[in-house]
This record gives sequence, structure tokens and C-alpha cells, in this order.
Amino acid sequence: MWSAMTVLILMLAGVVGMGTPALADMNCYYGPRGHCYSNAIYNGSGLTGLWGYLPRNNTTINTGLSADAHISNEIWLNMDGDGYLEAGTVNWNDSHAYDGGCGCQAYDLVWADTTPGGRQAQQWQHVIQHVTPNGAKDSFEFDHASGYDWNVYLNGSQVGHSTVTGGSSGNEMDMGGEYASVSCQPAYGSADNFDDWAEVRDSGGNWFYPPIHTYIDSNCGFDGISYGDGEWSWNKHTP
Amino acid sequence: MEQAHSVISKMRHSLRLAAVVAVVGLTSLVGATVALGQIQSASAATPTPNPPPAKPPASPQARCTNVACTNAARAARAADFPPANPSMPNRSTWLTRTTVLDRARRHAETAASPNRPLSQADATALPAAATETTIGQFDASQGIANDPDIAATRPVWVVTVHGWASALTLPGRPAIQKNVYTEVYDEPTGTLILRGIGIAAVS
Repeated sequence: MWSAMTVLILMLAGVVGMGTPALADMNCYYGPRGHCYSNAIYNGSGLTGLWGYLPRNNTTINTGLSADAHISNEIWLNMDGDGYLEAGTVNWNDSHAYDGGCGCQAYDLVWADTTPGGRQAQQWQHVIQHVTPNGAKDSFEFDHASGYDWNVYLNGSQVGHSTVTGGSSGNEMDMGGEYASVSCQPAYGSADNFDDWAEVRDSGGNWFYPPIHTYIDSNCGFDGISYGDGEWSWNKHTP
Repeated sequence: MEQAHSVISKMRHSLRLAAVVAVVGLTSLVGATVALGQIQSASAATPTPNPPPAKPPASPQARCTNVACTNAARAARAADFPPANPSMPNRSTWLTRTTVLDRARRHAETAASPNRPLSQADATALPAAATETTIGQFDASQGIANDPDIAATRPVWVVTVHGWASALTLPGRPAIQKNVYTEVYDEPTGTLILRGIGIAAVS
């Protein structure tokens, strides 16, 4: 009798003493929202350029290969007409990206231009270059040329020319991570700690690091923080 | 005698109680220590506080503007993106119509969110069409600008698939999923160059 009670008490004490692990945040945005984000945002007007300095670091989908899964580190420039430009490093299905035949997830530098129209919009995804997550840093830049035309640069060399966004100036800059997976898998994305930087150009041609606010969906599996104007750090925390 | 037996019995009871209390106390201490270890482990697993990063050495104002710098960037791209490299493999190894249709169909998603990849059988049944052209002719037909690093005469396969595909989306905006997409493949190397979500280029 005493022995049995003693064992029971010991078990209870052990369980209580061990504590309970914190529950994962289950607020998965994949379904109705489609994608999960952790970003720095600047809302302005008359923006005529965006420059981003983004490292090629490890980012992971963790759900295996699929047609739609990806995680990206990007900059976006939303136009007055609601079309938008984006560029950055995307880790996605290798065959989705370029059919290199490795049967694995792979990293590409990509830029894309999207027409106005919300859910009715069309999008062109331009593969720029195949890369590995070696920490090297890339500079992406959108420069307004004329009318609705924008030039796209990678590391100072022009790699594209957009004509479809329907915008001659921008009103919002976004910088950071986008994640999508095959199902609403909580906290499946993951990433290294690394720092993004961006500058925008105003209508007068002046470049500056913009003041930002943050947009962080819970349950992406990664988050971030901004330490100052034009800066976004993945998976970092204040000192 | 009976009284002495009762006293001994009470002493045994007290000893047992004391032993249990001691063991429970010791176990709680161990448990608390383990829990503390967990907290410490959790803290270690949490990203370490970081100082603000230094501003990057480059900026738009100082970006590459000379020929040598631009050439280096173009060479790096050509090395890691076959369509930007003027050289081509032997024609016998070029991408075939059958292969390109299969590859493009496999990029289809299911209709409703949350998305799931189609089965091989479902993907194979998707309506799709492919045509050969050059990247320059394709860009002109769609009213889009050329990639300055890819020769306009580069042969490509253009494939339109009537299946679902998702766009990369701006944060805070509704997801964009369309039931037709077009993919453009570099014919000599099989490299995907371009993907148009919601674009029906080949009928």
C-alpha cells in the first residue's frame, strides 16, 4: 500500500517538476490568406525606386516538394495602380524553378511583375539565376524609367524591364519573408538569422532608408525585427 | 506491552511519512532542476539577442556603374543560369515536346486552397499545348520586355497548361490563384526562364 502510494506520488512530483512545453502557435494563415509573412513595411507616395540588399541564407519549407511550396526573402514595391514588382531569393521546388532535375528544393534569384486587378491580376515570374545559400549578398533594384516602365537590376547589371504593373510610382515598400506550403502546417517554415536592407527613392530622386512598421503573421515558423530605418532582421531579437 | 506496541507502530508510521516527504521533496527538487534546465535550453534555442547590424557597404548611390563591375555581374549570372550563356549543348540533347509538356503539367496545383500537388495521373490529364519559338518572338507576342542577358534568337518551348497556379503575393493582399498558366523553357538546356500566372499564350 505504502509502496504503491509512494510510486504514485513520485510520478506526480516528477511530472509537475518537469513542466509542460509551450504550445506552438496554431494561428495558421495559409487557408484564407494563402501565404504567411514576416516583413518590414514603409507606406509612402511618389516612390520612383527601390533598392534591396538581401543575403542568400538558409530558408526552409520543411513540407517536401510540391507545386506551390516556397519560402522567399524579398523586396516588394506596390504601385499606385495596385500592380507590383518584387525580387529576391526564393527557395522552392527545383522542378518548379527550372527543372534542373535534382529532385530537390533549390534557391533561385527571381523577380516578378504583377498587373493591377487584385485576385484577377496576372503575374510574370522571371528566373534570374540559380544560387546556393552561401551567405553572399545581392543587390536588387527597381528604377522608374518612364511611363509604366521600370528597369530591374541585379548587382548593378540590368536583368529585366517591367511594363505591366500599370504604375509610374510606388506607394508601399515591403521587405522580408513570404512562406507557403502544401497545407496549413503550423510553424513549418524556418530560416537563419540574417539582415535585409532597403532604400527607397522619392519623387525628387533622393534615396533614403525609410521608417518602417512591421507585419508579422504568427505561425510562419520564423519572425523578425527591425532595428532601424530600412532594416529587417530575420529571427532576431532585441538586446 | 500493548501500549509499547502502539508507540512502536506510531513511530514506524512517522518514519514512513518522513521518508515519503523526503523522497517527494527530493523528486520535486530534481524536477525543478530539470525544468530549469528546460527553460535554459529553451532560452538557448531562442535566437540570441542581437545588436543592430551595420549598414551595408553598398547603396543605390554607389551601385555598380562601370563596365568591369557590370561585366562581372553578367558573368556570374551566365555561369549560374544557362539561358544567359551564349553556348548551347548539342541539339540531340534539347528538350522534347513530350518532356516539356510533362514538366509544365506537373507544376499544376489543385483548385482550392489549401493547395496540394496533383497526382501524376491528374496532372497528365490536364489540357496543355506547346509550341516552339524564340524568346524574342514570345516576348513581343505578349508585349513584355526582353531579358537583356538572353539572346532574342534563343529557341524556347512555350507551354500553356489549363491547371491551377499561384502567384507570389504582396504581403497583406489576397492570394492569387489562376486556372491557367504559361511556362517558357530554354529549349537547349531545359531551364525554366519565365512563368506567366493567368496567362494563356498557346491554344
